[in-house]
Amino acid sequence: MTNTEELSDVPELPDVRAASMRPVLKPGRWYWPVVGALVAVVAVGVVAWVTQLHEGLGAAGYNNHAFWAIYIADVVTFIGVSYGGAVVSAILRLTGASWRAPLTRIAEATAVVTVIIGGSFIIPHLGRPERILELIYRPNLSSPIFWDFVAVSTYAFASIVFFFLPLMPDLAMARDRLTAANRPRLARLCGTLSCRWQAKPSQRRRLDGAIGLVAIMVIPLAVSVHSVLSWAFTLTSRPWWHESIWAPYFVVAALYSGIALVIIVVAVMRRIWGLKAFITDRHLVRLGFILAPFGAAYLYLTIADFLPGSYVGENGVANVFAQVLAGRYALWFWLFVFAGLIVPLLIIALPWTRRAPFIVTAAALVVGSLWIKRMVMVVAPANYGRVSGVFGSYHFTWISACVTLAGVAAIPLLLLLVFRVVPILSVTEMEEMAARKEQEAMREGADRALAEIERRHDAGESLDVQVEEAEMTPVGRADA
Amino acid sequence: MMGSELASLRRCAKWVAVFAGFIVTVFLSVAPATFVTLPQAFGAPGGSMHAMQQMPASNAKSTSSGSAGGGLSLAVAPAQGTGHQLMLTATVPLAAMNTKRVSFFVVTTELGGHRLVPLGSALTDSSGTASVMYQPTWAGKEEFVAEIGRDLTKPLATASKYYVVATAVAGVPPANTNAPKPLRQVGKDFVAVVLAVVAAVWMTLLITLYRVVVGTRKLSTRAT
Repeated sequence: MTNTEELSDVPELPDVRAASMRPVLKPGRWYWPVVGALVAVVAVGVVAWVTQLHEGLGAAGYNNHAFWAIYIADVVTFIGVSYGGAVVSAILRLTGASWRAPLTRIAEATAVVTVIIGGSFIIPHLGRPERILELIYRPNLSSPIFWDFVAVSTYAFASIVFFFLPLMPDLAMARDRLTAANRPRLARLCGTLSCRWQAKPSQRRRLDGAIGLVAIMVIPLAVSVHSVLSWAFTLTSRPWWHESIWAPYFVVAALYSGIALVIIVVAVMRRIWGLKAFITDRHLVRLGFILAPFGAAYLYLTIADFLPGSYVGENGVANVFAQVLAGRYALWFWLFVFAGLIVPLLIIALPWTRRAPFIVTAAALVVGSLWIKRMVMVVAPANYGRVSGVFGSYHFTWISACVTLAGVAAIPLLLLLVFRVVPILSVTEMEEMAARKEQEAMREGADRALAEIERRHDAGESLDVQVEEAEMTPVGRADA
Repeated sequence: MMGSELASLRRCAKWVAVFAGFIVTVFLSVAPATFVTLPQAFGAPGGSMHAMQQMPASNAKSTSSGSAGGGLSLAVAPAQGTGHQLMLTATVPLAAMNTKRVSFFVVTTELGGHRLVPLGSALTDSSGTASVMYQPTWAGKEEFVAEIGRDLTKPLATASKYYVVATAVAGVPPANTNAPKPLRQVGKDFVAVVLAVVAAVWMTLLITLYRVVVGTRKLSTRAT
């Protein structure tokens, strides 16, 4: 692929600054009603949690058997989807994929928002949430929760840094626009956070170096977070939780569901804020192409996880697998296989369904199904009594459902609030890509003209060729 | 349907056909070996561990006989002092004249049709008996077979016997339940190393952030 072909997805930029500031300056009439509705859902979740604090974890459906249940599935799910946003952005940056530019800001914001929500889900899981401070001042090094806390907090900080650094140049642009729009307080905030960015080459070099370093660090950090989450299961005495395949299984699941969530968020954002000129259907289809191999890998790992355990018939594991594959959890498990693996893979594989609406549908199926899968992975082994060999039961209650729904609602709520303050598009990157596109086009034009001159010279023809002088535009010219 | 979609369909069908042909070819080429080796690998770990070694003829004992062909009889009984292993003993009444090799099998229907999984072989002793020990993989009614001198088509003599296995290998309590944990001795050092790595990550992130924030401000201030 030539550079020009690679850059062909870079949109023209007549309104990129205006479009990126649209959520900040003119969010639309629907904005506050939607925010209000989402706040109401979150508030109901908080009320449910307070009720749970009063009545105990039993009010959330927990019991002697189901000592781990919906909240742990929520932790794994929300932190998993965070992984997708960060890693997609990091990989696309490190590989220099030019089409990433309109997507990175949304992906990185999604990563930050979801890791904060995911990490918060450990609080309702604890019967005594006030003891969470003991993780800091009296840590138990042999506790899986301590290592979860270390891994998640480190990754969350890295995600915030990874979100903030590419934002600095755009905050300088936002400061100027907000000043012109008579929004002095927000302009001051953006000015402070932009650290007097002036798009000088020395500033650019320092920022690019830092972004590259953090992009490299985010990938192993994200891998470590999900590996540590899986090892938290390993340290707990239940069948199926000790499989050595679980760490990569969790990592692939996180990538799979995370990319799916990025697709959904990107599709929603471009629709509600009219960004179709910058985020095209091809962007969504390309994200679908990234989704597909992780779906195939997850299908393979699912088979690799279940086949040996089902065949060998070891005590405990076989009992759990029997319930998952053909027992009380079978409906949910096979629903996950069908809706979360087979249908999305078919949608992306078949040429006539490889379109934006279908890709978004596939992504929605993946996110929902992966939550179901995590519920099965948590609840089925937790319910199995190692001594008695019998299964207990776990049922949703309105409390656990409301707290989970509050977490779901918090994702769009926080994203709407974040993009009310910062530009939704990575303006600097998009302008750099457009400048590169312009440079490549001029370079190819010059190459063609030179080739024509050489041809004519060799043929002994007249050298009367008009070559326009190419003015090479410096990268980042429009940052100031 | 549009022409391009038909072309896509045709392309898909072509690739599906090529892939299916590949799978069928691979399956046909490996199936005969798979049907023999898979039960050994998955289904009969106890048998493969113990039965492939030739047992000394002096260990042979006969307790009861199964159906016989060509004078061969087979007995299956719990082995003395070996937990839940079985002793398979074949007896050849007319074997005093010369030593014969007896092969033992268990009948399985796992992963396909009815077939024999080899458990091992042993030479007959002077009393005409040959034995192998076998750790049953599955509990329940199992059919065991002994054969002498199988040529290309069929054995010269065969005997089979059904035996109800009470305890499969999965149900046998492990002999050593207090295995040492390999990482036990390095536990504290390992924790220190991991915490040091975490601290290094935090320091790198903080320093990077500091350099960008402060450096950007400084570079801006100098220029203005």
